[in-house]
Amino acid sequence: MSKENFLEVRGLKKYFDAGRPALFSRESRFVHAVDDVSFNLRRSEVIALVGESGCGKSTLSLLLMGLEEPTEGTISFEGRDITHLNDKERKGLRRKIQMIFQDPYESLNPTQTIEEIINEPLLVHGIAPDKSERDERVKKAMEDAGLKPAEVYLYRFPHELSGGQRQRVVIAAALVLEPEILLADEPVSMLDVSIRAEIINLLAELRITRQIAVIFITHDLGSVGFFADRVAVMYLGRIVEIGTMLEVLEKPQHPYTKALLSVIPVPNPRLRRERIILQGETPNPIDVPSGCRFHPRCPVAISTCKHSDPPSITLSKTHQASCLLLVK
Amino acid sequence: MPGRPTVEKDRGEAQINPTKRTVLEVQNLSINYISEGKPPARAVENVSFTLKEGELIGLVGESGCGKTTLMLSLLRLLPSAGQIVDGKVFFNGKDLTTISEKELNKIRWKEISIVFQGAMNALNPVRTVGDQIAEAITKHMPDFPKDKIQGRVIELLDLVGIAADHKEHYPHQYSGGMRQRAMIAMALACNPQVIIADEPTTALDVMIQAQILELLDNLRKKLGLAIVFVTHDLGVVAEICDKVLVMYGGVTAEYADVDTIYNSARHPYTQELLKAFPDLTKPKKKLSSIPGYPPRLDALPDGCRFAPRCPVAIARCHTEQPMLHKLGDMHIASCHLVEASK
Amino acid sequence: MLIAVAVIFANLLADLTYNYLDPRVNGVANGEHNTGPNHKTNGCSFLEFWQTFSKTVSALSALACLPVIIFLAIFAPWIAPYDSSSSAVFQVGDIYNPPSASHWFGTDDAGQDVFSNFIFGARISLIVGFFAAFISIIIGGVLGLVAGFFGGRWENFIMRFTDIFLVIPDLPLMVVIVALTKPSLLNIIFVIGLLGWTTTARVVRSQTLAVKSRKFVLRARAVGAGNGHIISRHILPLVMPILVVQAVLVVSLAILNESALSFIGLGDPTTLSWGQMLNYAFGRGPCPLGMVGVVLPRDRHCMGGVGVDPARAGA
Repeated sequence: MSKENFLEVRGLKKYFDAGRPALFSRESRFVHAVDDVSFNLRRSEVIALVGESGCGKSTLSLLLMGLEEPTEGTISFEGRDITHLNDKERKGLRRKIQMIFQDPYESLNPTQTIEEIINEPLLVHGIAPDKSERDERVKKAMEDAGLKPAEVYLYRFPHELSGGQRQRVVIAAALVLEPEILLADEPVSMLDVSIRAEIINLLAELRITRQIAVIFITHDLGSVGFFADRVAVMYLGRIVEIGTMLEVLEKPQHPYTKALLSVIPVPNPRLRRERIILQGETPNPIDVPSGCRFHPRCPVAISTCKHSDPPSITLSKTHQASCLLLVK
Repeated sequence: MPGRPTVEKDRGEAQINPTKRTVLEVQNLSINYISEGKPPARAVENVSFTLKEGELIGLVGESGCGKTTLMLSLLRLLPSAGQIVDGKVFFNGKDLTTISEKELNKIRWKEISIVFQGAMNALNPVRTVGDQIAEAITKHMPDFPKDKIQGRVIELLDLVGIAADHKEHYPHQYSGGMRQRAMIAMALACNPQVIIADEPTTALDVMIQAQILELLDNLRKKLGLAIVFVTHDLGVVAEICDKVLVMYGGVTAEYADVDTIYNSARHPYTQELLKAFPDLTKPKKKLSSIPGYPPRLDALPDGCRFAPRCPVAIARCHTEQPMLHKLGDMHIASCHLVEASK
Repeated sequence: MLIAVAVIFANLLADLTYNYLDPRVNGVANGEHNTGPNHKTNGCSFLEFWQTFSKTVSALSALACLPVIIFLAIFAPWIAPYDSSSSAVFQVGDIYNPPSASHWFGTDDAGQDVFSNFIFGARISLIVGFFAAFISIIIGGVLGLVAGFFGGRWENFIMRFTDIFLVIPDLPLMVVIVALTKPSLLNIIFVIGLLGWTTTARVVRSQTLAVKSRKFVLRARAVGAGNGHIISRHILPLVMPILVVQAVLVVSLAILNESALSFIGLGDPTTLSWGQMLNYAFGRGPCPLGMVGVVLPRDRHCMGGVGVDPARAGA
């Protein structure tokens, strides 16, 4: 198995039926939540999926987790096609791919103790039937997630913990299965600024100590700046630009990436700069604009953008962007 | 290089113009929460700031630092358990903490209005947005000529960048950004002098956030509005504010103009908070976090409220609460170490 | 009257239980999201529950009342001054006695001690109440859970079925069924139980829907848990408090229904329940109870009020 195709996503599409536009219409309309997304993930790599709400990044995470069935396209993991699996195969795969959710207040069952929460994945998968072995694994996962010493937290309830600690519990419950990929869906956006760094540093540490690959879904590029290897920028269900962190930050090529980067607040008043503020909001994914889907809001659109869908242009070995202005 | 800072300018200092009129002045304000059978919780203690015409002050702090309490107390909108125990709030020379409720009602919304957090819930879902703005006008200005109300609604919507034909739409037909704009239009209904914006961009996408910030910045230039911007986001503050009041556990940690806060902060909390905030201009720089959690209001530490988390705390910090030290014309910090180095 | 008091107290108890459990059911109290770490702990401990509880006078009296009635029911033969099951030897002068030291509540038309009857009657009332409620809760709970959790066609079918049951007026139907079948205790329990599950099903379904949409259920799925595990570990514990409250309400309703049935003469004639006592009192002339008339909360049909005049009783 080559290092390249650890997780490979090819032409992934997910359309949701949005019903018929009128009572007697023949054809129903579709929400193009994820529309032809391809990327790959290497072992212990961190990739940041960046985009505004409605760009399809959350649907993409559900597809990768197998919580939604894709309309088209394939996902393969370690060379095996995992797009469509039966329940048993899916369950086996869940040990390899785990997920962390945005809201640590909501993603923990308030009636379970921390010990029950972290133990649960082991029970579900029937791992370590021996109680003492399970306890050992729970303890190790908790300490890896920064809940030290574990005994202090074991028999508490989620509401007795702070937001940062709860997010650590969610992470511990994922780690206990020893996954190879961690899908983090906006894991810090609900937390206080002084706590955010802790969680991000924890994830950065885990990818080194446990060789875990991380897919970090966020709308805030700033928060992943220092630890993501690559960045994929999504707009209306498609990746419009993908490249290494520095390529995207220093030499963004797609006009949407440029605008997105220019409006991220920089905590230094001496560096106040011209912001490219796109007017309006992301269009409804039911009526995707023709041609380049970004052209109605694009500050530099030309007439061809209206009817010609831009191909993905390779700018360097690692850097691709889909914009007609880049076609030479 | 797009995306990176292109224009370097020092706007922070320039905005603080001494010739401008002071509209809002808060002096040594302290607020306690009283609950039965427990000692009063000192939610806000000895906070002062001034706000001049056309100025934008950022009220920054983490959750539970007392910034919302402070904001509500300016118009005496605190829940009954919250009491102003000390200090004054002057609005154009009038002390809002002592005037009668009737007089205060003349100031609420007409002179000082609030843009609340969560525009989603603040609008009535079964009435059109235009209707709700019209209601805000008639409720606070009963003698406003009836035939001019619709014109005023359109004017207000135009001011916040919503096309007039959206007047008849319901809140659910609006996007999140547009709802926030409608909330701002309602706050502007009576031509106030001061707007208090409580986390107006939290929960919005960065692009929408940028749009709202641009709108607020334009409004204050166009209308001479003074804005109190309550937020936890240091990046946003750096983008638009003139002055910053950093709060921690109910007390002023540091109060200065925006440039001083970001480039020569003296309070360890401000310094640590800045280090924890991701800076896109410095990728690959590891973020540092502040260990521990903000104090609970019912269990405040004896000395400096930041001492348990402070990386440079000395013995004195744990026993004695620091004074507010004046470090310059417009720079206040509450830290023992500042005094030592003075 | 005691039926009314018991029903009111049961309702109170239900409300309070719900208020106590509510913050837990809904995860976090208001504002928890904003107040950050450790600022609030919800009232989950029994101690805190007790602190709120003990401040409410009505709750305390309800709490005192319930065990007393259960105690009376269980130890009836030892508590009751007279054995009400045997037709004891009596003399003409014993009937319709006013309350006295030997007969606290007086005696009835058969010369039996009303106080003893009342104690023995608690047994039947409680048996019917608990068993009927048990049937209702099981049926309503299962249907509600299935409808809420699986949704789709199942939900549609179950909820329409529930609606049909819901629009049938309970009491007249019970009257008809009991009248057609033999009015035995078992039949009454089944009739009340099989007709009383509709509200439970609806309440449980809506709570299930609410819990199902929460993120921790999605997280459990992502971890790899199946439906059975999710229902038993994540849905049920959060539906339980509502089910308990519902159970208390259904018990009180069942007691009331049983009384109503007995009162109109459809009770098991071989047993003695509170409703039966009212029936006798109403049907066989002046009732010796030294108590003022009461209006039972729910009943519109026949148990309007039983006014009793102690002076007349003596005559």
